[in-house]
Amino acid sequence: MTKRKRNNIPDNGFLIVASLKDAFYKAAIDLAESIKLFYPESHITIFIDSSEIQYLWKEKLNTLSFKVSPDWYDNVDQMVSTDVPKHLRAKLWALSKTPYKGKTVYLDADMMCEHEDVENIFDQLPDDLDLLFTKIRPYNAKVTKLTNTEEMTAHCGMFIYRNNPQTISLMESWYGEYLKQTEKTNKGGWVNTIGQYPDDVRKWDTFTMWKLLTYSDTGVKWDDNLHCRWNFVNGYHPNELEDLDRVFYHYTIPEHVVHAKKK
Amino acid sequence: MAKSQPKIERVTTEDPKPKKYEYRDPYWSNKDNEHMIVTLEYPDGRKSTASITGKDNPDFKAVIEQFGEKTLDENTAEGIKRRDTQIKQRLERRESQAARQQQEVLFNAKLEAFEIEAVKDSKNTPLKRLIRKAKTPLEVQAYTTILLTDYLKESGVLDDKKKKK
Repeated sequence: MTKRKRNNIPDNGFLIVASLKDAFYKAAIDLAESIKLFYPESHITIFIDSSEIQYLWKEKLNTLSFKVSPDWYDNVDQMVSTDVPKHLRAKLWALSKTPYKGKTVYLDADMMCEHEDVENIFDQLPDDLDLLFTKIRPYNAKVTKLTNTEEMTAHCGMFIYRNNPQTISLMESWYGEYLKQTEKTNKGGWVNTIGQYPDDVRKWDTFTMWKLLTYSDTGVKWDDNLHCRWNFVNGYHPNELEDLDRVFYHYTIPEHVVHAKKK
Repeated sequence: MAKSQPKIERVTTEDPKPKKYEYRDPYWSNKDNEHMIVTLEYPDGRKSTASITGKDNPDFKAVIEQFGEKTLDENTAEGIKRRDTQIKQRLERRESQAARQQQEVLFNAKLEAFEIEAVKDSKNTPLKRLIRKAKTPLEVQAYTTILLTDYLKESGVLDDKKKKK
């Protein structure tokens, strides 16, 4: 395996974000390791809200408070902690700050790479698109239908996007709009209205993206027809794979693991 | 002086009592169209479901008069369609639940395999890939065993040559 110099950033790469909990930090590092296992030449950036972990990565120290591979730091090409907000949706903050000039694959931390086809992932975004999602499976989603005629279809846990002004602007808006959507008054009420949609959807960043893509003139060319093998979510029917192998498995960390106390 | 007689009006026809509810969304509940289900909505907003049988039943007649058989036919067809969709969705969710359980078992087997120090620290990329790609827990176990056997041989705990003798 040839090791890339850390400061040599290629055009295309993977972006993972981990915030708030050890379970997410560990998941992000495990995900990076699984990508490198199948695609050693890949470039991976982790945005993390812990400057302590970033320090351990920089110094190549194996003294994390949770179990990962002994040489975990070699599986992460870049680790950014400066200004990363301690926020459940830190991902939305990080997306517009991608270090890749070409294409970025965003992955939720609770995913695992399982196939060498991962090296073809950047080819999945065609020249005529800026942003590509997989489709949500309504049978496996908490909420998709917003009204009788409106439905969220794009799964926002994994996507490929291009670094161009309109797409970066969309990503910036995503974070800003999400903050507005979830902002509360001192008395616990909502600061901003979301129209006729139920308040239950406020917590979903998928709803924010859906609103932006549906009602804003973003100029971003997007689709949600990426095959589910690239984002195979726990609970999907195996026949959805159409005899193809899954490349990324999206498993979801159980609540009790997320909130587990440090030993 | 004779007492005046109270005036008595003889009732020959009974005035129908005004209905205390409105009929809503009636549909047939049998194929012979002799049994219908209807929602009764009261002025205070309460709702209840009524089952009406028999063509001579005054409620039956009133519903037919108000809505017409065609509306009941349409409501019935729509209800069947809605029920079929619900059944389909329920089955899909059940299948999804089963798939989720299977996938979790497999994923946990992989997690456990990679929790083993010898697997985690191993530089045997081909075998580690096979564990990650495994499609059943048995496959995970088999590849993990092979990797561990190699590790034990390399570390001298298992000695191939001695065994062959």
